[in-house]
Amino acid sequence: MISVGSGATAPDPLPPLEEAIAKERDDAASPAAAGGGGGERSGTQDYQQRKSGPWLHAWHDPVAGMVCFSQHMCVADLHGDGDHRLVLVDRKKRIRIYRGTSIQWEQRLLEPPVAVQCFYHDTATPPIPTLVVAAGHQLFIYRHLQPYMKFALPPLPIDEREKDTWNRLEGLPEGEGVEEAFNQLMKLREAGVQLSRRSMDLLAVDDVAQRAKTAEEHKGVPLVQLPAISCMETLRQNIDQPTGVSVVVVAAEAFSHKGIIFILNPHVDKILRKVELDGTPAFVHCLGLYDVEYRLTVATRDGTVHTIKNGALLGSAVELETPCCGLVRLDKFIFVGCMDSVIHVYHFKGKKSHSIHLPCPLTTLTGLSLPRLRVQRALLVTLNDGQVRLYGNNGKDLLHSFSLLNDDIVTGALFGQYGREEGALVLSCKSGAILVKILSRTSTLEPARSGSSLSDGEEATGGPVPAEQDVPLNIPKKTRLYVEQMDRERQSAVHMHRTFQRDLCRLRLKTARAYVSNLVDMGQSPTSVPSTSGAGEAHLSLTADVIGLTGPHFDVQLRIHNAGSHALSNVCVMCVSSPPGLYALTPAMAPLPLLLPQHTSVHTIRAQEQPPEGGGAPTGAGQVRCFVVRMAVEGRGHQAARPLTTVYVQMPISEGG
Amino acid sequence: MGIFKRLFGLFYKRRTKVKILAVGLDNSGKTTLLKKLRPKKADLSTVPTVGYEFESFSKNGVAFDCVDMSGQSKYRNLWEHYFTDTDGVIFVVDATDKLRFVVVREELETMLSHQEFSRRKIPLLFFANKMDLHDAVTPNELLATLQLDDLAHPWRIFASNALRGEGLEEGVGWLVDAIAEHKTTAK
Repeated sequence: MISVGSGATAPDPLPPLEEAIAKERDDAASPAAAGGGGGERSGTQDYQQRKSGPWLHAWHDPVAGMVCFSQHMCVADLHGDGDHRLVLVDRKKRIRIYRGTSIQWEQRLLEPPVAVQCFYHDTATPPIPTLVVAAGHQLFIYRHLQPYMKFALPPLPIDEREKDTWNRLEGLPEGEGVEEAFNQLMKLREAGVQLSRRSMDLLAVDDVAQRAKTAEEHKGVPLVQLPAISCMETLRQNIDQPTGVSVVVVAAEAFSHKGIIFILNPHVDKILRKVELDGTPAFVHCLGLYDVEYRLTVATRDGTVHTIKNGALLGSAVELETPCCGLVRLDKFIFVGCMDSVIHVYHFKGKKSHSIHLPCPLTTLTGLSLPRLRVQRALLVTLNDGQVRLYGNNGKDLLHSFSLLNDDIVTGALFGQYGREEGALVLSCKSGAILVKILSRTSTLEPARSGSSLSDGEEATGGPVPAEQDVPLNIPKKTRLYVEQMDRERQSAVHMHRTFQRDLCRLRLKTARAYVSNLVDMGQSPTSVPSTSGAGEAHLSLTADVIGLTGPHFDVQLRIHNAGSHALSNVCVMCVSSPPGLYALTPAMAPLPLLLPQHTSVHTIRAQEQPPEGGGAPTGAGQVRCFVVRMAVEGRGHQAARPLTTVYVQMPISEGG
Repeated sequence: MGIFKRLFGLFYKRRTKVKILAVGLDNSGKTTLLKKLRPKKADLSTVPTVGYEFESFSKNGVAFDCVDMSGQSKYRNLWEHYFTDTDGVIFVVDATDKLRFVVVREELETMLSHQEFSRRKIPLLFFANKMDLHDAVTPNELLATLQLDDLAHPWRIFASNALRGEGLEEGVGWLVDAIAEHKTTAK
């Protein structure tokens, strides 16, 4: 074998890239005529990012003009060629099939559709699926893109008494017997009979003349109550394969607040099973195989989630607080999106697991399931602020989120194989736009660690959980001592509390006593001791320093030390200049704080030498006399000051004057 | 080993032998294209390739060793195992499958981010295949969509119709020249 090219890399030997490109363009222009078809695509690319998280932006048609709900969309290999088509129906009575990025087929429908589904009715090769569109009480079946047949759900049984009432009215001339019939129907309703829509209409009319008119309108028309289909799903019959034969599960509203689930055979001409339940079905989800074991999960409009197992309605039902607006089942969990912006997650047997709280109401809920993904299932939630969120790990981790532009909202979402790409997400928007995103092959759908991926410029609110959340707190181990202490506390909590309170009271009392005795001692000391000796019992020492060299400003610093054993209060210091007027003293008199025993308090007085009156030369150094005085209340109520100690401070000669 | 390699290299010097890897998404026409390229005419009806297939043939004095990779998404991770000793890559694109151009670009990026491609300037030959179909885009549009302009490797795009063999000869001729040029400059 020759191993060529491996080894050292050479410096770029090729012609400059620009040249190559220019040359290339010239070459490429020749073989085929350049068309304008590609412009539209590149235009949308600037506006929607090519790659965002796990999504690749495949296609965007802002003017598709179809506003579809999730039920209005399905993908199927309609021609058995491996190229899956997208089938859309909308409320404007259109059915449209997309192949890749272009419309393949479009037709009008007879009635506004409710749901569309594709399934295999037999095991032919190549398998060609049947397309079924539900509208009103009918199912329109298409094969090979041709209308094939239609199946109407049977009318519902009407109470005999109600029938009699209307029959009697039939024979009477206009306006007669209407009141009688009205009262009779009212009675029937009060008796709890399920009345037909016609009777309900009549009962709703207040005006007597109007009532007669309403009754007249119905004359000659047979009284039938038809079920109204509200949703449709398919359920594989006996083989769990993509091309396995399926039965059709149709949920319909019967009378008001009553629902019926019909299971139809694969050829859609026979009802295999009929299950009645309370409440109008809003969403149905099927799991299992019809011939083996199956479960239908039905969410009703009044906020109840019922389960039907093998054709029998189970007694247990989940009661929701708010009406349901989305139902998805992934693996063993049922995700129920509610109108209060919360997705409740239940185990399929009914046990609540957890809830996902969203910042605003959700519009659609879709499950993503691909065998090749490492995290096989994910939940796609679209919100009514245009966000499209992807949740993994049973909804616990927000994997990715992107937003639609221009206040657009997703009305319908579908995940499945489109074209040849198995992981395609089709979004239908309120503006009529269609958006196709493809799940990247290399994406693992694992939560983005903090600070990593989600930095692709698109809005990523919420974000992944911070990494700190996973770090456990450093909680010390429980020692035996700790456990014993816990037990003791638990057993004699009252006793311990009382002991503590009693001790606390004692401590407070002791403190208060000490405080009082201190105060009392202080007050008594001057009276108990004869005040002849000036300072009496108060052993005060007073020292003074003069700070300042040349003047005329000096600071006199007094240090007052209480050498006695008692605290002294009501003490102040007074300063006098000698000769008077030589120094301006500030403050001339100042109260001193409580003088604690064996404690020195420092007090500073500012002395400013005044120029002598008449403008003469300074008279020379003077004195500052400081007295420490105790203010005491005498017996008759007036204050008297007793000097405790005195100091005369010889001031230096001021040179600055 | 090195001595043996060099000896063999001297021995085979005269003959041009290229190892080519054919990649592209599923249903883009790789197998058909390689079958058509072979001088011996074969039945062009194909089934989806499973894993990979080897094709060896010589044409115009050049011996081709081709690896026809499966384009199905579950087999695409096999591609990288053949990057190490390939001289050139044929990337076949279905020009009608507009929906998946973004996937093509993604796979191309994944391929180019492989260390073998950053180490060597492996020539890339693109075929905008299925030109006979009416909704096929032109190579011009395709190169704009795939943003081929910013490729650091020698590359070229050709319109092709694998069923009738149109455009194949020119493309492969360029690839052989590019490989030869790369070899001489690398030495």
